[in-house]
Parts: sequence; C-alpha cells; structure tokens
Amino acid sequence: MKRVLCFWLMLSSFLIGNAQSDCKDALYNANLKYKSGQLKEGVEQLETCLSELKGDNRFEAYHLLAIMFQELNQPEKMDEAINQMLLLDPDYQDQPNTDPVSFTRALNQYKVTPKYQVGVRAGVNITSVQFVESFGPIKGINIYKPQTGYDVGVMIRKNLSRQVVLELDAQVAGTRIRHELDYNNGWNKIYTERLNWFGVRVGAAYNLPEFKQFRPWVGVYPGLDFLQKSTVNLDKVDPEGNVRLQYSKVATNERNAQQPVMGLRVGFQKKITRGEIGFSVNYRMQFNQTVNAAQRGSNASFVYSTQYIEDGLKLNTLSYTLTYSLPWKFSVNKSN
Amino acid sequence: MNSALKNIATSTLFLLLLLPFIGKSQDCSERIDQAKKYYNNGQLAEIIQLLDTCQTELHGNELWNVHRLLALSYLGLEKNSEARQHVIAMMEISPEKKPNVLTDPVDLIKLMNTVTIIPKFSLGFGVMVGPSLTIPRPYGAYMLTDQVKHYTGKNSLQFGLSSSYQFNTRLAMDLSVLVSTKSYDLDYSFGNWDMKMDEKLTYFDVPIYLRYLFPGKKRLLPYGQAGLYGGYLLLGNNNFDATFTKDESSFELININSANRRNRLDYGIGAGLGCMYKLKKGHLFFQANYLHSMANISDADKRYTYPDLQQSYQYLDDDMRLSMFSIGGGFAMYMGYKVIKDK
Repeated sequence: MKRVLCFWLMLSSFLIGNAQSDCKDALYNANLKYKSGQLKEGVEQLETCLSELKGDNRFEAYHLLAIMFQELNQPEKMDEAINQMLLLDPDYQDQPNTDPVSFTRALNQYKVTPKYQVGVRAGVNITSVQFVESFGPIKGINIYKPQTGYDVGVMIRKNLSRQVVLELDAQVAGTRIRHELDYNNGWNKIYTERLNWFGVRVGAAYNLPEFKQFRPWVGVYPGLDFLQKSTVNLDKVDPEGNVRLQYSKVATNERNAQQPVMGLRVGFQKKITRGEIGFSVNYRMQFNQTVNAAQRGSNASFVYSTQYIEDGLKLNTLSYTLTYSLPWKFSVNKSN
Repeated sequence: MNSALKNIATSTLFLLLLLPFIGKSQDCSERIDQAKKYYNNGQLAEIIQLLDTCQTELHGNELWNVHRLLALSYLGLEKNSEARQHVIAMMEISPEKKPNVLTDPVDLIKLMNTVTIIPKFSLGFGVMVGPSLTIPRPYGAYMLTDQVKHYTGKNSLQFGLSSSYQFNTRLAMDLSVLVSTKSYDLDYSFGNWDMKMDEKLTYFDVPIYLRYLFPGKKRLLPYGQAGLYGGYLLLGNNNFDATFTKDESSFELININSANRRNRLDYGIGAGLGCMYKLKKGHLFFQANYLHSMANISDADKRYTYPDLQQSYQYLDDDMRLSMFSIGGGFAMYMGYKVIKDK
C-alpha cells in the first residue's frame, strides 16, 4: 500500500513539475507560434497555462490571445480576452503600442470605466443664517454677517451607468455665526459661534454631456449632520472700539445635536494622468434650528453677564469644493 | 439660397486647403506599415529614408511607432547615439510605457533601461500628518505686576497636502498647504496668585522648499530642503486660570477667542531632512522640518484693549514668535514623468 502511495506521489509531483516548466515559457512559446502562423497551437498553449500566469505575464497572455482570436475570426472569444486584458491594465488604450492596426481598431471599440471612485474633497464655505424667531434686543441695530468656514471629507462613488452616479460622503465641516449688535453709543456686542459638524450624505448625481474633456454634473445630496462642538464667544466693545470684555461658553448641549440636511450640487470632473479632479458648488440647507428650544437660556450666568439670548436660526451654507478621486475596480463595455 | 451656396463653397475651399495635410499624415501612417515590412526583411537603411520626414507630421501612437522603428533601425546599423535619441523621443511621448519582453529586441530594452525617467510632478494628499512641537520665543515682556513668566511649548498636530515639481535627478521644488496648530502654556505668579494661561493658534501655512535629493539606494532616497513659509492665523483659542494660593480658590476664563489680539500673518524660514521610499506610482516619505518664525504673534495695538484680562488675570500679551518643529510622513503620488535628455 505504501509503495502504491509513494508511486502516486512521485508521479503526480513529476506531472505537476512538468506542467509548471511548460508554463514557465508559455508566453514565449505562444508568441513564437503566433509569429509562425500556428495560431491554434498558440491559443492552446496559453489557455492551458492561464491559471499559472500572474501579473504582467497574465496581461500579455490575454493580449496575445485576443490578437490570435481576432485572426482566427472568433469574435466572442476575442471579446472575452479583451475584457480580461483591459481589466488587468485599464490604462492600456492610453499608451502607444505595436499591435496590428486591425486589432487597435477593434480595441478602440471598448471603453474602460471605473465601477467605483474613492476620493477626498476639501473647500471653503460661507454660512448665512435664516432668521426664524427673535430673542434679541428691541432697540438698536443687529446684523447677522455671513461667515467663512471649511468642508473636508471623503467620498465613494458608484457609477450606476454612464450618466447616473451614486455617492456616499462623510465630511467634517466648520461653520460660524456672527451677530453684531449696535446699541447707538452704548457698549456694542459681537456674538460669534463656531459649530463643528460631522455629516454623512447619500446622493445621486447626473452626468451631463462632456464639454472639451470636462464632464459637468448636477446632484442632490440629502443627509444628516451631527454637531460635534459649539463654542460661543461674546465680546462687549466700547463705543470707540478700544476696550473689549470677553465672555465665552461651550454651548454644545444647548444645540440640536442632529440636523437633517439637503444639499444641491453642481460641478465638473476632469480626467488627469492619475485619477480625476473636480470642482463643485454646493448649497446645503439645514432643516432644524441650531438652538435646542428647551435649552435656550439654560446657562444662566452667561445670560446674566452678557444680557444675550440666542435667536432661532437655521443655517444655509454655500461651499466651493475641490475633489480628487481615484478609480477602484473597472468595467469594460463594448460600444455597438 | 445664396447663403447656402456660399457655405458650401467655403466648406469646399476649407477641405481643399486641408487636403494636402490629411494626405501627408495618411501617407505617413501607411509608411509605418511599409517600414514594419522593411524591418522584418532587414532593410534598415530604407526604414530611415522612409520615415525621416514623418517625424513632424505625426503624433501620439503613430509618432511613437515611428521613433521605435527608427531606434530599431539605428540599433541594427550599430548607430547607438542616433538610436538613443529616438528612444528618448519614444519615452517622452509615453514615459510610463515599459519595454515588452515579447516584442522588443534585447538591445532596445537595454537602451530603454539606460534612459533616466524622473517623476515630474507629484502630489501628496492629506498625508503630511505628524506631531509638531511649538517653540515659543518671547522677546519683549509686558507686565502689570512683578512677574516671572515661563513659557512651555506643547505638542499638537499638523496635516495638509504637499506637491512637488522635480527639475532634474537632484533638485525639486516642494510646495505644501498645511493646517498647523501651535500651542503653548504660560505659567506666571505674583503675590499669592498662581496664574496659568494656555493658547492654541491654528494657522494655514504654506511652506515652499528647494529640495536636494542625495544619492541613495535604488528605492530609498534621502533629501534635505530649505526655504520660506507664510502663514495665516485661522483660529485662536485661549484659556486663563487663576489660583489664590492661600486657600486654593480659583477662577477661570475659558475658550476666549484670542485671534483678535494676534497678528494674522506669520512668516519665516524653514529647513528639514527627510527620505522617500519609491513605490510603483508614488513614494512614501518621512521628514522632519523646522519652521523659524520671524513675525510677532501679538498685535501691539490690541495689547491694552482687554481690561478683564488685565484686571482679573494681570495679563498682557508679550512680543513673541512661535517657531515649530514637526515630524511628518505620508504618501505622494506621481502625476507625470519627465525624461532626462542627454547633454
């Protein structure tokens, strides 16, 4: 029994070793066969060794197979081989080659598109307030001034078709509110609030026709913002603007922690050597007021010393964002 | 009707004017096929004669094929310097194209491997991440009472983007945009009072360095860099704490916006050392930089405008510069390549 087992082990290791040594030069031998017109033999050689070939050799094997299938007039097999070679090297069509002209023509009918794109986005935002209800002074002038902030995030896009893109965003954003109260020759107040958010969006974008290699798009991005921190500063300034008294508080617990949001975006993408860059203008509306009504004025010492109570506001933000994304997994489509 | 006729006449004239050029490039495309046949027959001199005039008329894939055939012909005729010029031209068209072991002769592969290709432009994303140590350098003290002030720099974080343009194998220009937080503690005391102040200043910094790449191993390249930087103060956050030592009672003022008391602009010089480890389409880098500030952080005009800081905390801003030592690392991606031509 042991002898039989030994014999089978020796035989199988010999066969495996032999097959491996055959496949070691499979590409070279198949190329020789292709050049000498032995196309069927070349195909056979490569097909038996495909599973053994890795990396560049695997790409070259599919490349050679596609060329040979074209010459053998087997379009379905050529289609499959081209699919595989372009998935292994999606940039192949962008580089020069020494392929037969007829093969290059056939190859030009295929378009490689990324299935997913992962990227980063960063930009500046301008926040303006939508006034809902007042708790402020009855005299003097009070103005809310638009303030700049930042948006930074990551995104993953899934191309559902050439036109429709599904996108998942996660971002951190900093927005500010500035409220100036002018009491006519009295001490004026400058209220500033910094709000830091973490937000998620699930959006859909529609690609418009390309214009000079720029791909414009429009999209709708509903989502949810989670307040991370709210810091309030209030300066009392003398009429000449020379002397300041400062007050501050961390107001996170006095704010609504979640904000349903709706984002509208327009932008464009452009393919570059590596990945895609883009620019977009985003308009973001928050649906809840910033201040939690039940907590308004709960910090009695701040209210007492500043004589200030926050108004009911909703935030609208316009942001200008640059994006950079890299493709992740590809699909190959043949144009009809 | 007249305008339609005019349009047809204009279009016809335009096509007639274009015809010689279309004809020429079509002619050259056909010549490439002819040259390939010559190459297979060993008629190398004929290839040179055939393709000589096509170099100015073609572009992209076809021009690359012309240079490749000319390089192969010159190699066959043992005119290596001419062959090299065409290999360089080939690689300028497509610097990322690697030799093909199946279709390229060994001599051509050897010649291609002798041509130096450097990454022309690289971009690092969100990766200049590392701890930074603030180094406070006070040079003008302002006090309302008899005090001894002691500043201590603190660790914080720096992150941002970096881009690099390489001029040749040794010299590169590096431009980064960074968000840097500089923070420090101040301890001072007078009478029976112990005071503590800490401040965190967030800057948008733009350092620009001239980088020298030292000869290194195949993938590992050390470098040194020096240059200038400019910064803009984005946020300032300040806390004060006062303790009466006799009964340990204390009061505090927290999260005060200090940006109003500070100069918004910062600038200075910087230098650093680092190394990069080359990967397939980019490199990992690790570097240590020192930014030496030359700007006063305090706005002299605002020094006496905060009476609560003066009365409750006996505090006045000193003239001070904030330098920074940072260690960072990340990944930069190559966005384009450049072929180094022979001198």
